[in-house]
Amino acid sequence: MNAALLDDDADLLDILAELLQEHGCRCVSARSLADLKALASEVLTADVAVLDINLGSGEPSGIDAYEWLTSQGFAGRILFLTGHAHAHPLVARAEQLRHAAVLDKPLDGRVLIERILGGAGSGAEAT
Amino acid sequence: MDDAAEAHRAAVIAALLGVVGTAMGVVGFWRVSDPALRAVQVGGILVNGTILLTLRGRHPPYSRRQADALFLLLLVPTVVMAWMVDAARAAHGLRWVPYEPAKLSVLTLAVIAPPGWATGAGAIAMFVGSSLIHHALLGDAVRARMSAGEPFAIIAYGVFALVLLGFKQRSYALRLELSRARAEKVAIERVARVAMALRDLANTPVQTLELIRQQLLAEGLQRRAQTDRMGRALERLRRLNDLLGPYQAAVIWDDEGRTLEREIRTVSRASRHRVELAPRRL
Repeated sequence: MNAALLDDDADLLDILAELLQEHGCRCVSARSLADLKALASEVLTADVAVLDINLGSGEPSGIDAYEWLTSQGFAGRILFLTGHAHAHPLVARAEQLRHAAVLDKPLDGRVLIERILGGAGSGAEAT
Repeated sequence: MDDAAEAHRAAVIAALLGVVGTAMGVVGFWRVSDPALRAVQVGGILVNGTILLTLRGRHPPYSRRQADALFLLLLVPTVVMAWMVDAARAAHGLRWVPYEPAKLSVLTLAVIAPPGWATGAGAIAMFVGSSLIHHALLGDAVRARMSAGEPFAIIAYGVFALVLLGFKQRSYALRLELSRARAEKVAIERVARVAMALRDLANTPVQTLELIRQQLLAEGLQRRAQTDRMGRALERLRRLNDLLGPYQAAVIWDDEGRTLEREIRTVSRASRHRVELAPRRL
């Protein structure tokens, strides 16, 4: 299984990638939409994309990443992972997107890994 | 608009009405007026006009008490003029309706009065009181030529003016209450924004710690005690998250909110950068 991870927090990206790799999942990590696009060939063939929603002030958001992925014909599941309140405009928008689920940080580590690996939910499911 | 500014506005309007009303009185009572009344009218226009120019040139806020005192001071020439107009009309020898300037004045004062009962009620009392004193001083022959109903008519005008003043004061109180509620809402919203921004900021590191705990847990049972402690600490942090959650309802995600969010993230990034650099300095 392959996973594409997008988060502006390097520590979170590293530990999440390490844990997923321990479960046999190959990961490609990006800290911005530009990084994600630079890794397009690996990202677009991933089975799941885990996108942070807020990637920093003035930076393209996880929603922009979602739009880029769908425009490129990404066929995997898309999970948004956010620490923001559901009332936040970006999160509210993410919740309305099709074929994507929104997961709240902080989530129990085991549950998060299960969700990414597809054990407990599909991309169309909203949390 | 605060009370001092309202008091200033009331004094400006009183001065303006003093100039306009007195000028109309000069024309309206020209036939019955004597040189003394005309002198008082000119004096009234000068006093009101000077105060009007002074108040317009000077911007609030300044003391509400000063504005209230000016408001009452402006009425003195008008009270004197009202008295003299009534005396002139009484002397004219025709049948007349007395205290008309005073009646018009009390109703107007109720509408333009500044915040606070004392000034408005005092202003109304000046006109009603002077009319009653004047009435008591007039002779029976003069009273016989008055329209019927005095002095109860001027008293009735005074009572109605007080009722109007009550409505005016109520509207001031409501405005003040609204202004306080608005200020409180803004303050709550700001606190809520900070709370939400802090909550959002804390969630990613908490998630990172939770994943590290998960990794430690997977590495071996000898770390079980430490990972359990860490788990409990993280649980408490999650509870903090839950406590701050309800604040999101008070947040309006407008430009100001986003600016605050950006500020907090910028400060957070700067402090994180300092932490990252710290070991290199050692």
